[in-house]
Amino acid sequence: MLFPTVTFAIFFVLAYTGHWLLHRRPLAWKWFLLAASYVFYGYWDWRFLLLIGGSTVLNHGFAVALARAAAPGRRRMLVAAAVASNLGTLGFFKYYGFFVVNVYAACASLGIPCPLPLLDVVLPVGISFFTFQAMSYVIDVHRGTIRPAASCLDFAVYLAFFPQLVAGPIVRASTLLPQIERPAMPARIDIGRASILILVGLFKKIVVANALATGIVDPVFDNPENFGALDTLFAVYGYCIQVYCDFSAYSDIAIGIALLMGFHFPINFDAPLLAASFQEFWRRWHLSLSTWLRDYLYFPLGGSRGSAARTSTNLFLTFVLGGLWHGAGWNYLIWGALHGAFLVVERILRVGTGVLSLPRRLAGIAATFHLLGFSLMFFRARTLGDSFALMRSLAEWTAPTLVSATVLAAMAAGFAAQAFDGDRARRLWDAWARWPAWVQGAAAAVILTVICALGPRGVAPFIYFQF
Amino acid sequence: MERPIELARMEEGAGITRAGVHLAVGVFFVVGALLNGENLLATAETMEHGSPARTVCVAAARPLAAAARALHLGAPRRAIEAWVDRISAP
Repeated sequence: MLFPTVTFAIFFVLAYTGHWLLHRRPLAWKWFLLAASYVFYGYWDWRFLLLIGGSTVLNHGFAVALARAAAPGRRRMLVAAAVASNLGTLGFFKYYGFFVVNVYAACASLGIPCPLPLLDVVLPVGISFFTFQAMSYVIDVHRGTIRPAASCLDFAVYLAFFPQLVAGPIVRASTLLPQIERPAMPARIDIGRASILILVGLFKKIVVANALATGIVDPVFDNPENFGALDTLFAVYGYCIQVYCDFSAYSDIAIGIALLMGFHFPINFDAPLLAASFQEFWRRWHLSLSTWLRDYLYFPLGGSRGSAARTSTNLFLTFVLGGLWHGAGWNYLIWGALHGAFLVVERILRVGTGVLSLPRRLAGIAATFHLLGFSLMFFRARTLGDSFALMRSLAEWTAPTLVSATVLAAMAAGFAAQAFDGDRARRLWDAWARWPAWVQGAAAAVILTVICALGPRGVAPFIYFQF
Repeated sequence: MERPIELARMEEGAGITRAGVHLAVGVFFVVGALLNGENLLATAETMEHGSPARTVCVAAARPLAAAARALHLGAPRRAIEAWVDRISAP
């Protein structure tokens, strides 16, 4: 079920109404939220419910067993089993096909038969997100930073809560679980922030991301050999802005919807295209993933406690694995490796430390944006061959055919939309909330109509659904 | 360390009462559905034939589209779409 669709609108009216009618009766309210979230998720394919249900029971079981276990050896064994079972499930659904294809190729080159069967494994939508949430829950219980959920039902609602289920943000159990276990709904709702987040999110997705995808990005990336330098360059710029608008839109709408229901999620994007270095970029982009990788991968690897070489290795490995989190493919691995390498080089050259003068900051923003575009040429291209074809196109001068006023306007609008990230629009939120409630509702409806009318017909799935 | 936005806003008591939010959400859906009624019906009709979701969406959108047509509430959206088509034509 996509956010900007008729189906979701009907679903949300029912979920919102039921949520507020039942919130004074916690047990019924939790069952209702779980049922609503499962309807939302099962709408793609009801079989996915078996997976999320299994993950819920398994991980809660591990968390409870961890809380009861006293012996360090048994605790280590339990957490290792939990991590292995989560990674095993994720690995099977996400990487089995990639693994088998490469084993087949290796076996074929050696002239031996491949021992592994070829299976058509369907990737359940959002599996990476809820698996990471489940893993962090068990690891946090192991570390003693949180207690297990009061009941399996509480944990099930946490893991499946529909606004953030399929594309994040990856909300930690320490943040969301207390809001589910002890539902003390706030007396006041930050409607100004919720409305602006949802409307800006819809604008970024329906107007900007869709216009860039159909106007320049998809045609160039799907047939790179047909276009010259300017079209390719603007397609790469366009993709940087499209992927930001598409992904941050989902997070914004998720945070806004949760706010309307009285829940608080942390921010996930903070004007990442204005970052003057890759260190800064990763403090602004997909914050819930970057902090997850830091806390559950980089720190356990040793973080920055060892030698400079060891720190660089940890950093590089973290980003290679972060790249693979996005999907099974050499393109994602190269993308992650490039980001890891950029960060290591910045660390060695001490780039991004201290306060920058305006010209140096602008130069840093331009350099980071172009290197991001370079890495995304691998991320977005269908094959490695296409990535290299894109690079060859950058050297071929022909008159542009796709760089239109609409494309340029969409790029400018997408870049400008960063002005609403973080708390930059605080004054607007407060001004919005001062209007009478019925005016707020009517104004939001009018703005939504304008957004829908400006966007191309139909809504493409969010890019991050595939992860 | 800087206070997370969501917590800072909650402590400030930002926003309006829950009753106000319910009113705003209700008005949003009614006005939004009327302004987009004809498009909602057209979109619902493109869904997979025979699916329960299509049946529900078409049943919900049909009276809205009829009301929107009777009150000419689809005109603003059509005007914007015509303008977009005009400026994006090659």
